[in-house]
Amino acid sequence: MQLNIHSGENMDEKPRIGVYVCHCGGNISNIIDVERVREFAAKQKDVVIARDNEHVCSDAGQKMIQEDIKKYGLNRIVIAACSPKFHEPTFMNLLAESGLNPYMLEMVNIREQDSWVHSDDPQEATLKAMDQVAAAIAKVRLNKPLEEKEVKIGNRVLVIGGGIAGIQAALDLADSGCKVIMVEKKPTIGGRMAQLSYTFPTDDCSLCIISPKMAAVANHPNITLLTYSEVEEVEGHVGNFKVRIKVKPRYIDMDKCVACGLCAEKCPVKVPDEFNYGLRMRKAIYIPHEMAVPLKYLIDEEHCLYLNKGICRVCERICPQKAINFEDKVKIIETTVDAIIVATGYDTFNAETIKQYGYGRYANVIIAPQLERLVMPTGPTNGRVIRLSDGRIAKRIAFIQCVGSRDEQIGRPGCSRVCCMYAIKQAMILKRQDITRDVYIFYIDIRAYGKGFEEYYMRAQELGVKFVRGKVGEIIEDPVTKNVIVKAEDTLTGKWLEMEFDLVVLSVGLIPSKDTEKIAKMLKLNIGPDGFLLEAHPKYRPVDTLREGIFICGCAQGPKDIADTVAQASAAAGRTLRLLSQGRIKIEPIKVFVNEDLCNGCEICLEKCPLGAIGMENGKARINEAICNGCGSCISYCPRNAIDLRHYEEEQIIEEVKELLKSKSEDEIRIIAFFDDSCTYRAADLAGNSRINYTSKVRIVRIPSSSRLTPRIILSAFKFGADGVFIGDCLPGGSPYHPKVLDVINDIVRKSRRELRRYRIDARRLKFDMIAVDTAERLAKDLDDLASTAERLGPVSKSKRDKIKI
Amino acid sequence: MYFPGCALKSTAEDYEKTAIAVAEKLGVELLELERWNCCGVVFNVAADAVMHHIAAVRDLIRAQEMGRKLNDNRLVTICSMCYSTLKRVNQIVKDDPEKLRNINEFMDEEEDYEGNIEVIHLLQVFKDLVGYDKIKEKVSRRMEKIKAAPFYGCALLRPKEVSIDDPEDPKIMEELIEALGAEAVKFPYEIKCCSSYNVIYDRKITEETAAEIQRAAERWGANIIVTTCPLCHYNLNTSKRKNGIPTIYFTELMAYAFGLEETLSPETLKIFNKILEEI
Repeated sequence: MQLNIHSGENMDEKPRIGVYVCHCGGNISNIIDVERVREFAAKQKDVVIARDNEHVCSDAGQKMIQEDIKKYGLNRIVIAACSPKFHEPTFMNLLAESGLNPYMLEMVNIREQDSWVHSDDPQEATLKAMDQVAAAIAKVRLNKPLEEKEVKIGNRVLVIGGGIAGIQAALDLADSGCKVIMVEKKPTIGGRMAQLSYTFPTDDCSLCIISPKMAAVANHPNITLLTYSEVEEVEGHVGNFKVRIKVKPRYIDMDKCVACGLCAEKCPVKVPDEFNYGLRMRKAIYIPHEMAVPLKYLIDEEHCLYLNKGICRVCERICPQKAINFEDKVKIIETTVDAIIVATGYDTFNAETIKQYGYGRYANVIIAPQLERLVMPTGPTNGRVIRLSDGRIAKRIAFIQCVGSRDEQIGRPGCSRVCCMYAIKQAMILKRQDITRDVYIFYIDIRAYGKGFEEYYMRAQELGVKFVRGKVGEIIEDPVTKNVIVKAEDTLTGKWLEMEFDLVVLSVGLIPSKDTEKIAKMLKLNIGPDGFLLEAHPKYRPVDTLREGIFICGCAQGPKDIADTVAQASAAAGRTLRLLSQGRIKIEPIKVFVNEDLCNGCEICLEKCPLGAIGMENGKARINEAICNGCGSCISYCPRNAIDLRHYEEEQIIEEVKELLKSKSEDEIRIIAFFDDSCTYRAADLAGNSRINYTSKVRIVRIPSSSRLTPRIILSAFKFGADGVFIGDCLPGGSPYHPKVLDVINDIVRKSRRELRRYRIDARRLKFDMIAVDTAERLAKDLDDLASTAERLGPVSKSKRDKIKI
Repeated sequence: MYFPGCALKSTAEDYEKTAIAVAEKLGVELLELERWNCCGVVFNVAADAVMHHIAAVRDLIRAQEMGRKLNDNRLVTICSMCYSTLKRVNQIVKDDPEKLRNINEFMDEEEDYEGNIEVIHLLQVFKDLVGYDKIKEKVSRRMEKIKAAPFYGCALLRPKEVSIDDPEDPKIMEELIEALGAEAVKFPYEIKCCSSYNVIYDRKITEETAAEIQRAAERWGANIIVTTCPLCHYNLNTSKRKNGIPTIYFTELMAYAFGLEETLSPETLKIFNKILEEI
């Protein structure tokens, strides 16, 4: 997408600036000498008019500005008043209504970040206000008109994954009138939930409660269902994702097949049935299970005799519907959608990697998903739970918890959230089948955290399921009886246990599905340290991603049970609807841009962009503005200084810094503080609201994220007279930007300190701290500490400053 | 070059003798490390136990000196304990230059250790450098009546960072035994602790452990236990039940398979003869 950001106004037009200083009904003027600030402003270059007013935000105040714009032909406005967090949108609208570009505005925060925090020193507070106003004038002079591009957004949604998460999201959206395309990799929808026996803590039959929803998806007029299909490529952006879907050949004409099953009866090829975890065989022509949706046969390419060896074709002869089509080919569907929901689910942990448990070596060690199939009356053994070594009914059964979860040895420290409850469920099913069975659960902790879970756990205890608190060290198989011997420490009694069982069930954890990385790469989503897809914010944006228009839900985001999955899927649908219902969406114009004359195509920025928003075109870096969210992480790494951030360009910031230091005398000290807009700036506002006084030596620069800084900006601050520089940014998780911006900031700080040392300037003069929105006191202390460090070290001498090359 | 260590010069003389002999048969010349000292056993796990690593580093310096002459940086250990101690200390000083500097400064009478020595175990030499196919060729005796259970103990496999194989499911000795034409009996106690130095404090513990291991090996169908560790060998043999299954070194099994009876002690030979008689 090409966003035309510079447009409209004549760039060569001479700046005509109006400055307005607010009294705020005494909130400002009781401390700051507003009249003096106004007089100072009036004398600045390009300032046509400077006024002060009791309440600039009032109707009267706004009208005054509007009239001035007309009367004096103003094209840039500076307002010194309260925090921009209050009235910036108000004044931006005012500019727009007056025919100016809303980005030709600068606000100076002389209330929260001045009069309210320097009440002890009105003189300094006034000087600070003057400096900040001068800086705003310098910045606004260089402001460029930016256009908020609007994108039309329709109602087409792609849902990737047809498990319960995808089904729930698709149905919610389709019922709301959206057009949904559901793409499922497997030949049937229903996902893992269709393979489960019963569901905790209510013991409903899993397939019974999901099959109506599966049918609803198939029959919904607003849902296009593509099974046995995969999304191959996604390009574009919110409102216009271009999607390429591969439909794999089933070799069956779906319109003709009536699922009579004659073909499978005659098919000579038997292969292990995936749906039953290999506990039963299926034919090469098959349906995944009796309740599959769509209920249509397909031919397994890998095993079909005809497709591999050119012989057989029995099914073709037998099919009364003539539905077999060996000529079937891969089909490619290309379409566009407005939003995407990713619901690609999970895989279970491969228990074979934990050698000491013997899964894969010992016949009578199975994994819990296999037991789900074994207990089903419709399952491979008609519900009889047997020893796989000899087919005898298992009487003594042990469950081992946390196999592939909470295990730092294998790099999976997280809890899988469902294993405690499913083991308890399975244990109760086993006891109900035969109350004389001995059923043990070896656990680390039982985590029965959900609604009705603890009660469920208690019922299991009442039924006689035995719980042993201890991690199993190893399992060995008796070479003769094939019984399995479990060795564990009972940590409640301190006893070392060695117990013999007929069957051991490993409660395997949930891991990211194997395509997660591929999908993340395709959609440019982020993956968390646990390997699951990463949400935009763990609390406030749990189903959003950092890419606008792409949402995640279910186990693709992390392990969770069915109830949580459904809740999250509906949440994803809701967030999608919120987006789609706007009809048009605005794209924030503050993005990075490349100066193509400087770019030498080194591609360093490509790796540094945490969102993958940078590509190459004609040997130059090119920003995908639909993806870029303006964190500026790429800027400081560019060896040619070819990338910059709109509205916060390096030269603008340096001009601001220069102005903030202009009034400084040689023997005083001054601190330049860079506050990121999301956390530190708000914390500073809070300091104002809480009237926490801090050093008046500080001068403030507001930036979107400290990752947009560069060593050059920091060195400029020292060159122009700063004796200390403070950088504040969010704690991990607090920022609206990617968590990696913290690494970028650390790199900038490190590089800057190295430069400082080169100029023999004490590196302690540069301080970086992570500031949360609510840690105003910490911020105040940081600033005071830095000021006293600078006092102690004394002002940076002019000879040192002059040596700094920028 | 190889590091013998104390056990091979006292209780485990047969181990050293057979090791050198079978290596020679396979074309590997084992040269005893010059001026070696105790490896510093047991490896001290305290994070700041720099003092306890000095003996090992001194040995690594000896290896560095001799290695320079031989143009070879591999130090082969035979005893499992020596392997563990030397390998772990080597790892630590390679990963932590600060620690290495401290140790080097402390031992100012020696040249600095540069961290270039590679510590390997004799089993790895046979598997990776010689290859089991070549070993198969040298076997001159029918071995199929020997049902050997490999016993790894702890030191070769743990912690997993220095393990010579999968610490939970090792196969290196099993494959060697098979290459020799004997039957390898994989049994679940192969990675169990032999009770180690408990033998000094409480022989009963060792007796119980040894009995458990031996009974298991028998139940899984073995008629001999094969180990790499002088301490395991000592514990399993000295605390053996009457008529319990014997334990030998893997090099003794190799020597027997290669027809190098002259290097075996009369006791070991008797063990082999007994097995063959019984069947």
